[in-house]
Amino acid sequence: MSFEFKPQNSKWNNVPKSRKQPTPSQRVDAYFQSMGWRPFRFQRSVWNAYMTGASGLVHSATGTGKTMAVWIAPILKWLKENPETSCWNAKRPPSLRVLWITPLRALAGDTENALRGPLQYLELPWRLESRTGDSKASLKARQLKKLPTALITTPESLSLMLTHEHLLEQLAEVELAVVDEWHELLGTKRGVQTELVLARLRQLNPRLQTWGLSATLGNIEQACQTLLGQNTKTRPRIVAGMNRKRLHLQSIIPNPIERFPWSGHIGTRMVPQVAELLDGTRSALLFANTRSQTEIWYQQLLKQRPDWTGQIALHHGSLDSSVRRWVEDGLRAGKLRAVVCTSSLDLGVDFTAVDLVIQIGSPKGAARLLQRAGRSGHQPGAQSRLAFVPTNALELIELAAAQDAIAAGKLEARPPLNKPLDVLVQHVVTVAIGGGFKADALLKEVRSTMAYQSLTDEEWTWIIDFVVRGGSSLTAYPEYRRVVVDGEWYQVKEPRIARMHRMNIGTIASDAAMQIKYLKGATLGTAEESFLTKLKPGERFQFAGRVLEMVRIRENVAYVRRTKGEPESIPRWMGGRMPLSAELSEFLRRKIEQASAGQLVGREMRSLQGLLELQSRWSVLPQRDELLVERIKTRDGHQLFVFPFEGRLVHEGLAALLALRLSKIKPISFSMACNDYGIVLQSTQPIPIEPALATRLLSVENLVDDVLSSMNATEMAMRQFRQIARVAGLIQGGYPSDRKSSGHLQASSNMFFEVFSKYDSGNLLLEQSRREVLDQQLEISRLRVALERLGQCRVVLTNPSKVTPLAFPLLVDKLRERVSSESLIDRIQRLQRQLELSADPESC
Amino acid sequence: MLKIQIEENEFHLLAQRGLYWPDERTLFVTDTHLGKSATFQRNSMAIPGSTTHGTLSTISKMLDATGATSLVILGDLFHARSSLAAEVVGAFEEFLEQHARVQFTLVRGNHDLRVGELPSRWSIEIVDPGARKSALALGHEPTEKPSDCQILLCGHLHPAVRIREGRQLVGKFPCFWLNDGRLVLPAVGEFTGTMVIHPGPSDRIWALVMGEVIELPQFGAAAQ
Repeated sequence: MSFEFKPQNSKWNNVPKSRKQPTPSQRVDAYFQSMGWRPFRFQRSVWNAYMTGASGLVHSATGTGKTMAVWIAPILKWLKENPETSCWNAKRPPSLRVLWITPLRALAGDTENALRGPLQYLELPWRLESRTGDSKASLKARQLKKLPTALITTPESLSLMLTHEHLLEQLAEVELAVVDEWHELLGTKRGVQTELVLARLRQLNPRLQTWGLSATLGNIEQACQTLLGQNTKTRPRIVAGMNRKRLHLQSIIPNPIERFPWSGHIGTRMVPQVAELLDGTRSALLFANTRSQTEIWYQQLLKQRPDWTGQIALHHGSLDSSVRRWVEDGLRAGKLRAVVCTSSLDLGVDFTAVDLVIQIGSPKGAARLLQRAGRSGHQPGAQSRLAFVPTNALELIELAAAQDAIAAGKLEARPPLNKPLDVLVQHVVTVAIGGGFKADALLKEVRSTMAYQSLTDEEWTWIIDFVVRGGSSLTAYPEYRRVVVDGEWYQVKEPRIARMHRMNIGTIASDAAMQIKYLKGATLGTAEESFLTKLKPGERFQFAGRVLEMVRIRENVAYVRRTKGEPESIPRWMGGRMPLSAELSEFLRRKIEQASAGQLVGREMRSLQGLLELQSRWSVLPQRDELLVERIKTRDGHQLFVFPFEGRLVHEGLAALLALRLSKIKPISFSMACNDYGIVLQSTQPIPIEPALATRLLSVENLVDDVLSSMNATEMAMRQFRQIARVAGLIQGGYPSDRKSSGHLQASSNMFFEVFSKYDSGNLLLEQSRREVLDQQLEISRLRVALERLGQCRVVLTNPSKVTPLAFPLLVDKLRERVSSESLIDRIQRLQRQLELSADPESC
Repeated sequence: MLKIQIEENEFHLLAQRGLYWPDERTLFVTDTHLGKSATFQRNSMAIPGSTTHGTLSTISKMLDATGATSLVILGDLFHARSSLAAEVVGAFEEFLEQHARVQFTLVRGNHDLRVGELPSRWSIEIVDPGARKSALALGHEPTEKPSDCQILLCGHLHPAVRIREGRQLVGKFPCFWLNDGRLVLPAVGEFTGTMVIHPGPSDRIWALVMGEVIELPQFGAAAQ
C-alpha cells in the first residue's frame, strides 16, 4: 500500500502564513505529543548521531521505543533538506532512501503500520512499502521498476534484489539500512547473508549508514561490529535504550515437591494452578519449549476449563500462516485469554493487551527469560510479569540461577558465525547474476565483513572454481557452466540458471516438511515428513489443537479430516531442545555451592530444601571447584553418574569422550544418557573409574580427534550437509510445477555427501559440514573450556546405596534413549541375535 | 556373500549389490543409472563424474570374482539421454571390451525408454520385461509374478530398510527384498539413492551393512 497525500487535513494550514514554518524538530515533537509520548533521551542521541553520519546499534528490552529511535532519524534529515512543504508532492515520492530489514516476513505488516504513523501525521510525501516472500506479484513487479522511498524487507528478499542489475542504481541511493531484531539474525547463516548484502550496499554507496536494533546481549560490542563490518570510517555508536523494565517474576511451586524429579515430565500436573492464574488475567502468553508441548498444554487447559473454547489458542512455527495471523490478530485485539506458543511469538509483534507471560519449563538462558518476560507490559514504562512453571523440581534451581544472572547483568553472548562457505557460494552466484563481478574487487568487499575477514586466498580460489567449474580445478566438470568467465568478468549468462538460483535464495533450512491439508483444501500447517509418513490411514494424531485422522499422502501433502477421540500421537519436531547456556550453567553451579553451605536463598531454593538435603545425605552437593561422580550398582548393571553442570550438548560430547577413554583402559562397552546437569554411563562390567581418573580422562589433549572417533561423526556431518547443500545450490528445489519434469535431476544431499566423500574429499563444503558439527552440534569450544575447568576440579567420588535425586532424572532419560558406544555392525549383529532369541525362545 | 535358496534355486547375494546365479553362471544387477552425474553437470549441478567409473568397476569386480559368463541388467542402464556424454560412452565401451566374453542382456526399464536407441555397435541383447531365463522371469518394475515361473527378478525401487533399536534409528541400509515371489534387487549404481520400503511380515529382507549381507530375522516368519 502506498501512502496518500491528503492536503485538506493538513494541520499546518492552521499555522498563520506570516509565521515561519515549524522546524523539523518541532514537527517531530508534535507527532510525539499527538501520541502522548515525549522523545526519550536515547532517542534524541540516535537522531543527533545520525546527523553526523554515524552508524551504530540501539539495544534494550522490547517495547521501549527502539523503532522510533531509528526511524525518526532519516525523517528529520529529510525534513531539514526539504523544509518547503509546498514542494512536497505525494505523486512524486522521493526515491529509495531507507531499507528496513526485518528477520521475519510475518513482522513486515506490523512494522509497516508502526512506521506509517509518523509519515501520516507529518504528511510526508514518502512512499512506504514492504517486499517479502509474501508480497503480491503485481506489487513486486511495480517495485522492480521503481522502489519506494522506504522499503521493509527480509534478508532473503534483499539478497534477491541484488540479482536484478537494473535495481543497483536505486540501491546505491540508500542512505540508511536498518536491521531490526539483529540479535535474532546474529550467529545464524541469515545473519551472515545480511552482512554480505550490507557489504554490497556499502560498495554501491560508501556513505551508507547502518543502524541495528537489538535486545541486550552479552556481546553487544561484537554484535555492533559484525553489523557494521570492518573499515568503518566513523566510530560505531552503541546506544543503550531505556532502563531495564520493571520485572516481576514468580514461580509456581508444585506441592508437594517430588524428591525424585524426572525430566521430560511435562508438568501437566500444574495445569489446575496455571488455569487459576489465568482466571485473573486479561491476556497471557504461555511459552513452552517445544511445539509438541504447546499441543499438549493447549489440550490440557481446555480439559481443565471446557468453557474456554474459543478464548484460548495455539501458535507455533509449523502452523499455517493464516492460522497464525488469526491468533495474532486476536491477541492484538485483546480477544484471547491465553495463547500457548513457542519461540514463534518471541519476536517484535506488539501485543499491548498481554499482561502476563507464563514460561513452561526452563528457558535455558537468562537473556531468553528476560526477553520473554518483556512480551508482557509491552509499552514503555509498564511492568513485565512472568510466572514460571517448572516441569521438574530441579528446574527451580535454574530459575533461581537465572534471576541471579539477570541481577548480575550476565546475559548470554551470541557469537557470530565464522565464514560459512555455503552462504558465500550463494552470494557469489547472486552477484554474478546481478551484473557480474571482478574477482579481486569482490574478494575485498567480502573480506570487509566480520564473517569473512579471515577468508584465505585458497578458500576464495576454491569458491570461484566451484561456481565456475563445479569443483577444484583438479576435478573439472566439462559440462558444468554455472558462472562463466569473460576476460576478468564473472557472470551468469543463462537465464535458466538465474531463475533456478532465485528460487533457491535463502538459508533457512526447513527440514523435509510436509503440508497438512483438509480434504477440502484448507491448509493447516506442516509437520516433519518422517512423522507423517509413519502414520497409517485412519490413525489419529493431534495437530493445531485438533484431533485429525490421516486419510492419505499424495505428492508431499498429507490429507486429513477432523475426528473425535483421543489422539494416538503428537508430531515431534526436531531441534526443540536448547541446551542450558554457559552463563546460566555458571550461576547454577553457584546456586548448588550455596546450597551445599546450607544457604537457601529465595523461594525457589527454599522449596527444594527436602530434595537438596537428601542429595547431601546420600551423596554430596558439589562446590564449584568439585566434580561429583556417583557410582551405583543397580539391577541393570554398573552406573557411573558424572555431574559437570555444563549443558546437554557439552555433556553429549563429554559422555562419548569418557566412554572412549575408559575403554582404552579396559575394553568395555557402555550405554549412556545426558541431560543439562550430568551424564550417566552404564555397563555390565565394573567401570575402572579410579585408574582412569589417574590418567588423562579429562585431558584437553587430542580432544577433537577423540571426540570425532567416539561419535558417529560421519552420520552427523551427513545430516549437517543437508542444509549446506541447499544453501550452496547443490540441491535445487526448482519450480513447484516443475517437479515432475525435473524428476531426473532429483538427488538427496546424502547422495551428494557420499559421492563427494568418495571422489572429491577436498571439497570445502564437506569440510564445513564437519566443522559445523564440531562447533554447533558438539559445541567443541565450550567442551574445551569445560574440560579445562574440570581439570582444575577436585573429583568427589561417592558410592551412594541408592539413586540420588540428581541422578534420578538421568536414569529415566536412559530408559528412553540408549546411545551406545558399540560400532554399527556390532550393534546390528547384537540386535539380530536378540531378535532371533525372542523369535525362537525354545532354542535357549 | 550369502548363499540363499528360493524354491529350487540357489543364489549368492553379493554385498556389492549384485545377485549371482551359479546354475547359469549369471550375474544380475539393476539400476546402474550410468552417466547420471553427466546429466547433472549439464544442468549446472556440481557432482564429480567418477560415479560412472565407480559403478562399472563394482560390476567388473563382481564379474571377476564370480566368473560369470553372462550379465543381466534389470533396467535403467543409463540415466537420461544427456547421460550419453563422450566420457560416459567411452567408459562403458571400455567396460564392454574388458568383458568381451561375457554375454550382456538389458531388460528395458523406464529410464531406458527415455534414453532411446543405444549405438548398434554395442553387443547388448535388449529384452522387454517379462522375458524368461529358465524358471526365472526378468522384469524392471515389480509387477505381478507370472504364475508359470518360480521367481520374478526385478529392480526399479532402489529398496532400503530402516533398522531401529527401540525408538532410535540405527541406520538405513540398501537391501534385497523378497515379496510374493518377487525378488527386488538393490540399485548397483552410485549416486542413485534409495527408497525406504515397509516390508510385510511374510517378506524376507537381506540388508547390506558395511560390506556384509545380513538377513533380518524379524521378517520371513512364514519362510522359517
